[in-house]
Amino acid sequence: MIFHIVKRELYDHLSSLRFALTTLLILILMIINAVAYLGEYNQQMKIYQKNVAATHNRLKRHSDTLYHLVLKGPGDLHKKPSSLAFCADGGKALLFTHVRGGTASRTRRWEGKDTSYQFIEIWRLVYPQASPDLIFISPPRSNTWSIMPDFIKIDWAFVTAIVLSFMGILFTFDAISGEQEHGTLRLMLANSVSRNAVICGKFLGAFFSIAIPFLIGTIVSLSIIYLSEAIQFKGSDWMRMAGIVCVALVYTSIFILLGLVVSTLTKQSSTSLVILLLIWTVWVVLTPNVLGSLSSRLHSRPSPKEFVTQYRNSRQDLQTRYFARIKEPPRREIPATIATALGAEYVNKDAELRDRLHADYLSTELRQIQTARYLTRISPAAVVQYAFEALAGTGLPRHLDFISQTRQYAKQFRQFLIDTDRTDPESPHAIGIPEGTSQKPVNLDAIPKFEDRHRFSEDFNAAIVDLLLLMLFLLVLFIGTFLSFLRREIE
Amino acid sequence: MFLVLLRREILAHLITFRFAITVIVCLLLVVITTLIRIDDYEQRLASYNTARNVHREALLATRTYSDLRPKIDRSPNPLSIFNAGMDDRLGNTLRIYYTNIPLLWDAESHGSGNLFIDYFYRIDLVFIFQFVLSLLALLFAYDAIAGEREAGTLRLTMSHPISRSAILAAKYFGAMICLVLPLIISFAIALIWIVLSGSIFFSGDDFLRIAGILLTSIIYLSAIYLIGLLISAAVHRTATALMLSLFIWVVLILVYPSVSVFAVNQLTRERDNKINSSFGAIWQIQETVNKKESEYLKNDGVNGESDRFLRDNYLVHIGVSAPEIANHIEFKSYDWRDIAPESEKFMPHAIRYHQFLTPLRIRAAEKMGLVRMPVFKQTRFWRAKIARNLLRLSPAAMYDLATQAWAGTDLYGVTDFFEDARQYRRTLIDYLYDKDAFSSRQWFASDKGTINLDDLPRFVYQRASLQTNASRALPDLQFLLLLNILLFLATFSIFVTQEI
Repeated sequence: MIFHIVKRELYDHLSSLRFALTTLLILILMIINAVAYLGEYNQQMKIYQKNVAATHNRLKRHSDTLYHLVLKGPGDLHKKPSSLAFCADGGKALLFTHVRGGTASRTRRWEGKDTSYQFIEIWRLVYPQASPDLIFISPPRSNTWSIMPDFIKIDWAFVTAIVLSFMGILFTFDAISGEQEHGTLRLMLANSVSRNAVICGKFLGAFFSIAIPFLIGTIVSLSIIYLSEAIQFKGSDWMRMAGIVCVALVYTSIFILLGLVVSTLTKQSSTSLVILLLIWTVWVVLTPNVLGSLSSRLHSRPSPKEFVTQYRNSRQDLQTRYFARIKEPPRREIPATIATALGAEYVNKDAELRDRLHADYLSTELRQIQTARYLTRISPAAVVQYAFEALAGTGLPRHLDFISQTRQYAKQFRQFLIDTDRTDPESPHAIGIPEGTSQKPVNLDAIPKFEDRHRFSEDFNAAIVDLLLLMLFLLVLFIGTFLSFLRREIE
Repeated sequence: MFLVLLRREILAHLITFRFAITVIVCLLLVVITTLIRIDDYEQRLASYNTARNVHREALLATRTYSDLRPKIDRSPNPLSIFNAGMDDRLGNTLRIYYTNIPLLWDAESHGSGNLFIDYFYRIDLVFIFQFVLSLLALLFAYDAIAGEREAGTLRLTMSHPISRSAILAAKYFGAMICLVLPLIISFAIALIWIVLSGSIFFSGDDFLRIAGILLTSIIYLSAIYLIGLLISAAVHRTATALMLSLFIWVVLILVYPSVSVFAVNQLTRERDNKINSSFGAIWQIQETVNKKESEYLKNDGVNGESDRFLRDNYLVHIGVSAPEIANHIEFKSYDWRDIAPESEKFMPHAIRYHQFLTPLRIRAAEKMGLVRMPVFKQTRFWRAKIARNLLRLSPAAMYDLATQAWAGTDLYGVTDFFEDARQYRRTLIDYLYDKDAFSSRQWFASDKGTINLDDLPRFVYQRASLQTNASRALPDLQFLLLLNILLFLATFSIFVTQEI
């Protein structure tokens, strides 16, 4: 019996105006999406490869002595563009694409009785900051002011979050109340058919009539990308895309169920539509953005000015502490003199301090957006957006993964420097100052190179919370729909 | 009879469920949005004040004329509460100096805002009206004709001695009154919040601008209502009319604006060749100056200093010595605080050198400005213009652009700042000429006392006048009006010729 209901619903929907309009809209959006992202990935990949080559050349230039490498560091570490940016763009224009492993090579002057010595600061990781006021201590973001009007990127996430949810409502607002108005609901229930079967049939009918155009759209979009050979997909990419499509369908089901609940609870289909539209407007379109801008105010963060003062003071403290203990300028002598060891320790501690303070500030900035993301998760539109980003390997989770990869690499690079220095018998083994570090050339191939990796397991972990939340929404609405329909009186 | 109909329409709308719930939601959103926008404005204002004070202090610490390079700031626009536009998007700090004609390219941004938050789309009052009230307009319209036809009441009304145009007019005005009501309440609520916040002061002109925004909102809602009415007249069933209206609503307001700008953004590239060719032209101008400089140095009667002066055993650059392909002539500031007595004999020579070179560099900078400005227009502006013109196919976007223009937060409103900055640069150079700064010792040396900045002209940024704002809003307003008329005529012709 349920099969008959699904069939009837499907025929009804497929021949309706709303189905035609839906299919058309989704198709147009998906084609625009595919065409627009065709060139982008290649272009970004080219830039990425150029940047990686530049980093490599820089490394080659600085590997003439080990000390030079200690001073200059590994150079810019670049984020690899995601091949699935067309699924979820993830605000990539806002997130920086590289972390600098370098230095400004500022000097600190130590003054003895009648001698002096210049300590040169050594490399560390520098993250471009989100606050424009911090350009004095971190590289500025490129100020290519965009004078384009505001817009939302047309990716799969947009099509899903906005269009599919709207379809879900449009296909179900009159499912129960409309049939009640026409009296067909009574007729149907007069047959030997359970209410469960009716509601399941309605759900499945609406689900398929949205899933079909969406799947057609994704296939069209993918085949455009695939046939133009703009992006070569790997095996894991297909898995990611399958995950994304599943998430999209779960998300659509949420709105189908929402439509069914409201339609069951109201008498007239026009009332049910008004309620649904307002819920949709507030829950899907407005909530994520209003809460997003609201929550940045919840988390306070030291102002850039305070931070700069703190930064300068801590460094000054460190310098005073060490300079008081250094009695003579460092000399090249084996084993290292106390002054050499202390000097090297100072330079390293200073780099560590800069690194730590800077990373702390970055994390306060990121915490603001994390809070915003937690709060906005009361809207399934935001949840689905985050799940898409995580699965596509774009957006904030991916960015955090990139940053942690650069930190790991920095550790590895430092260890490499120490190990290489140990192999040189002529070095006093006090890395950080020219007097204490090996001056021998370094084998370029032995230097560890940074390669940003997209890790599926990491991305999937980031998506888990969102997937569970979507399931929760689905379950609550599912129970709600059943209970309300079972309890409903049919006149 | 017309009045009876009108009254009936108004009452019928006012007592409906959809009116009540939409208005409540709309007002709630207006309250929240106003609060957020006011808070945002206050933060930006505080950041502006801090930046201005810091820059003022830095300016007052200037010791020589060549070091005179004030930083000027753009104040946030209080009307950004209504439509944020580009106000907090584009650079708001600019350094003014004699060898550069400032453009948007040169701007920096002050402020402690977290740019990661731009991840979320900003919501302002205009967006709420654009989105929520237009929904109400369509909900009023979809069954206005089709519904009455289905219910048979249309026939009943027509049996009275009343023309069809009167029926249509009664429907239109009845719905519009019910739409304008929540709109005016929303404006009132927003204004009350703004006044209560105490940090924002509107001038008389600002109230007129707000009135302009209100007027544009009414015209926009009327256009949306007429779209719904046209569909309602043309379609036989209310269900179909509803479906079509909602579809058009989502497409016009949410989908199309993003799609069009996105397409322009992704599918057009900046014209790199134009930028590259401009670098060539700039390079040439720079070369000419360099050549003139080295010629001067060769023939100035002092031998052996090439482009460097000996001062206190340090070598000091005095010219554009290492030309790079830059967007402007390299800026040189000098502050020689103590000059050794044995260098004193070179001073007349140094003064003559600067007297010769500085005007040359100023003229070269102006020439470069003439090269850069058109390039800027042809590359960046060109794309933004295409995007904006494409946007205008959607009445919602036209409404957005028109209200931006009224509020002065549109692209032109922001670029006015750079026009003012260029004007200020000219004033500054006139001031330097008046002071005979280029031929004075204080151009490069402060050993005989620092410069006196009491009569330095200050930069004052004035938002564009009301007339300018109005004239910028006018094209979009006209388009919207035209759309209204066309839609009304279409609805009328369909309704009049229809059989009931």
